[in-house]
Amino acid sequence: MRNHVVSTVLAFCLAAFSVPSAFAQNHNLTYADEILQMQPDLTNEELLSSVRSIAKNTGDTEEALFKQIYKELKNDQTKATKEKQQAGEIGTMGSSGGTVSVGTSTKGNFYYTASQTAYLNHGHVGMYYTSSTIVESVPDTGVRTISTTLRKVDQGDAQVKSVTTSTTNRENAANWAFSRVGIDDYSYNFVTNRTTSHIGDKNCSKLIWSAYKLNGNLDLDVDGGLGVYPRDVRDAPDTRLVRNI
Amino acid sequence: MKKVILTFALIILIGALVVYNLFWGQSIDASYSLEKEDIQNKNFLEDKKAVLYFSTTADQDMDDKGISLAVFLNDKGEADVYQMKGLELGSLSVHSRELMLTDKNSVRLIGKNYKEFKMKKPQYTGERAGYLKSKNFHVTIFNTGVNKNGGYDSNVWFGNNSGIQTANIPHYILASGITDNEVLILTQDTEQNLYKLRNVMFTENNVNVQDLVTLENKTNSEFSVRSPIMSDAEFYYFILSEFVNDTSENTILFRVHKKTLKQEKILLASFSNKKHPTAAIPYNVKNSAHLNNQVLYYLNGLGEIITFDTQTSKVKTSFTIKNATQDGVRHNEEIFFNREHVYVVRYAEEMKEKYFIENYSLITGERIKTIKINGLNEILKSVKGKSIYSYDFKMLK
Repeated sequence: MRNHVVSTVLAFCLAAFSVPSAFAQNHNLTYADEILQMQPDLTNEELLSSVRSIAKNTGDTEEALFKQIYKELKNDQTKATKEKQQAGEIGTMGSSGGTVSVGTSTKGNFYYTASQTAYLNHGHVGMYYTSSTIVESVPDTGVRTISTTLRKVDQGDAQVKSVTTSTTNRENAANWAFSRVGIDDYSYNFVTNRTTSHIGDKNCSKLIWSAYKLNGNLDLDVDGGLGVYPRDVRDAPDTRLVRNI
Repeated sequence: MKKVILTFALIILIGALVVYNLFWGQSIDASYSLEKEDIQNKNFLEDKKAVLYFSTTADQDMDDKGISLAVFLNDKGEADVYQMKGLELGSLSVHSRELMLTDKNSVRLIGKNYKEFKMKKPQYTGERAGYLKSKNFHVTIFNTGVNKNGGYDSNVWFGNNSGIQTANIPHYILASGITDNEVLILTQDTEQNLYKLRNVMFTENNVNVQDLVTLENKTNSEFSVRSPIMSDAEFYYFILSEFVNDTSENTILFRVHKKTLKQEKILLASFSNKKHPTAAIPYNVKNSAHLNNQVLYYLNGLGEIITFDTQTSKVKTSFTIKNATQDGVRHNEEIFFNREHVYVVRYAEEMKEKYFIENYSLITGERIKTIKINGLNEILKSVKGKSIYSYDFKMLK
């Protein structure tokens, strides 16, 4: 009986520990397991299929690709933690730090906010389709539009940024993003979204990255690799701060 | 040895649970939580003075764990909370001691006869809710999104205790208003930069949308919403912000004559602020304006009540609410107009109970009373791992 209790408790502890990936230190887990723990909405099949496809096209080993993905995720996580600490926020947002409407800006600009999920704080980005309309990709809905007045974000770490390129490129990029509204669904795959098609399911950072890749051939990703995360777009060299929100 | 392992494992387990709860847990403090049985009670609203609605935004529904909260303030000034699924920009409808709560999946009618309706298709972003007296039902409109044919859908749920119908308004809605007799919408064609005022007519189980007028816009200005659409016997009224540049805007009142459809553009204010360009945006653009006794009242984000006399067309800043912030940073401030009163949910960092409601007379500008909201700060602080925003507020008595 005692043995049973001991093993049950130990088993439960292992399971409980495997949930909050930010604190997972179990090095016995493979990179793929770690990635899936950090991105629980991404399916194992989707991850494996994506990595196999990239390996086939690039000649890289699957192990190296998993390692690369894991490294990018950890980098993003570290950045998120550091920024959160700097902002002095521990866990709770929106209740005391204050909120702001993203407000108007020029077509082709984008906003960034440190959006929380239950798992990781990847942040979130959305693009100005007009001065008062945001086009962005959100879960369930996919690519959508929302008024800049109605879109609220936490004050302090949000920003509006412009992209350093011609007005034509900016307008074409915004028009392209808008053309995906109602067509492209949401994708939970951040980890290899640089390698997936511009057309089809996409997350918020992929929408903006693709828009400028196709219109101006800009690579709005500060560190390249396989995944483009919202902070990668925010910190891309071809962007300029318009204002802090 | 086994004892040591067991103790060690338990310590780890407790530690893990504490850390998880601290950073990611979404459980609301039990002392403030309402259960379903509470809101089902026919006397539930009897001692409720006000209700506030909060929700996570759609981008946080990644794990289907977005939440919304209906926070009830009772006569003793204590807040309790009922948690639902998320609905960004969700809103409340109140009529004759009956309250409609909406989340992404369901409608709840709270009052003498509790009813709950599960809806087939979830919604993620709200537009407006209200009661249409002429039809005796509640209406809630959503910003649903572009459909697979390229058209825009704004789904509508409407009904009462007898049942809820669903319908669709095939337009993107920039502004809306529900008066006693009409549901009015200002639609925006973002590609053409066209704005049309329309009327939504309800049949037994569907809606028809009637065009009223296209906004004259010779300068091809881009507009953002600043108020609900209102009406009196002669005119429709709504306030929009005209984009000047990234840091400047004009606040414009549009007035459309109901019979002649003649349009007027009345400049209420110009605003320019490089550091805080969003500061003039009202606390809640859906509840920011009100018609009473031939005067239109508009509460902007600087705390100014700007009035427009519908008879003389005179515009003036009537009064300013006390200690209004000037930087555009919000702490769940909300607005509710009722006849010659405005109620404003306020926040003060220096106070023990951070949140309170101020009641001002629209006639004299005098602050009539202040009502503390005990417990709201604790409730909002207990939401971990998600950002939650206020979207509506109604006084119930």
